[in-house]
Amino acid sequence: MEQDLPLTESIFYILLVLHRPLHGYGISKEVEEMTHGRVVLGAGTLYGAIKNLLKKRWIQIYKEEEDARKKKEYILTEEGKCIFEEEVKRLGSMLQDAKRRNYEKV
Amino acid sequence: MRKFKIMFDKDKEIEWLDEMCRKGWAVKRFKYGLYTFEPCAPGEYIFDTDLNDKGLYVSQSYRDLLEEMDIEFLCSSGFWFLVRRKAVLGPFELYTDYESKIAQYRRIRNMFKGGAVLELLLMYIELGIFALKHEPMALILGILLLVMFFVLFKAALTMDDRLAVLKAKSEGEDVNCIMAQRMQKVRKMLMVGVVISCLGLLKIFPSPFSDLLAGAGTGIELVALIIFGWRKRSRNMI
Repeated sequence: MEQDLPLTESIFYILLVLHRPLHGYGISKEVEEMTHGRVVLGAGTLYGAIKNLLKKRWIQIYKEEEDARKKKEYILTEEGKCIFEEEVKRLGSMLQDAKRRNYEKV
Repeated sequence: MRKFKIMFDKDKEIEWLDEMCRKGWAVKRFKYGLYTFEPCAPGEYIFDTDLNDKGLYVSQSYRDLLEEMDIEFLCSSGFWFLVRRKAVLGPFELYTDYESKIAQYRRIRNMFKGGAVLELLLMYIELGIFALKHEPMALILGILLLVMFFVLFKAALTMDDRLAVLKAKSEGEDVNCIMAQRMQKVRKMLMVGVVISCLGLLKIFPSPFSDLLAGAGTGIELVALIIFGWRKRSRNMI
């Protein structure tokens, strides 16, 4: 688990928005809105990431619609949630360190 | 309108297709180097290309995702497929971060590398047939395979250069530093080649093995020298 961190920015945001079920396009739209267009997920990047996360079992298929137009929805697994929490903790302590350093300087 | 152009550099290819589009010609499909264009509003689309995710075809789930993201799938030929998106929707690229770009260039480079090695092996077989049976066809095929080897090998090296630039950017390193490290590797490869061919020339082993060793050593030296020359040249361009 330790060697999986740090997450790349794209993976971090994909895991963040997948705390609730979303389909592929929903992921990219939500990430883009959340970051005001700073983080953009191209289709190739997103597709590769989803495949990879499914393989690692950090996310799973939530629901597959039976229509002709299959739209898969994805959601975090327990393991994915754990990884994400670890990363948030790590980032949090980094931020704390930076702030503390700043105060000392001032 | 149709144009024939064989390209082994996807970035140059997309640059060309975007340029054609600015002139009012949108590519509709391509097959074995033959591109078919249709008239469009100048600059109407932005193009991109990618390796098929399933080798010879694109999976339905990738196609669905492309469609959801307003990306139009144009065609697939060989290992590649071509897409476009309306330019009014904003900048468009299939790969948007360093990590996925690097992974993608690596896949492309390895594909070219694998192809080059295959051509080389086939060439050896053809030249072997020529040496044994003196069939002129085998010699012609051998030379053709050698040319194909050079083409694919050069394509792999071009992708390798792109990878070096991307890696340098993503890790905040100096490109020249990464290139220097790679030159070091090539020097090592050259040394290994020299050692192997010396072992062959010393004739320590029974006859066919010594000749094979000498031949393999020369091959490695040759490949190392090509990389060396290429890197020397491309370094000035980066």
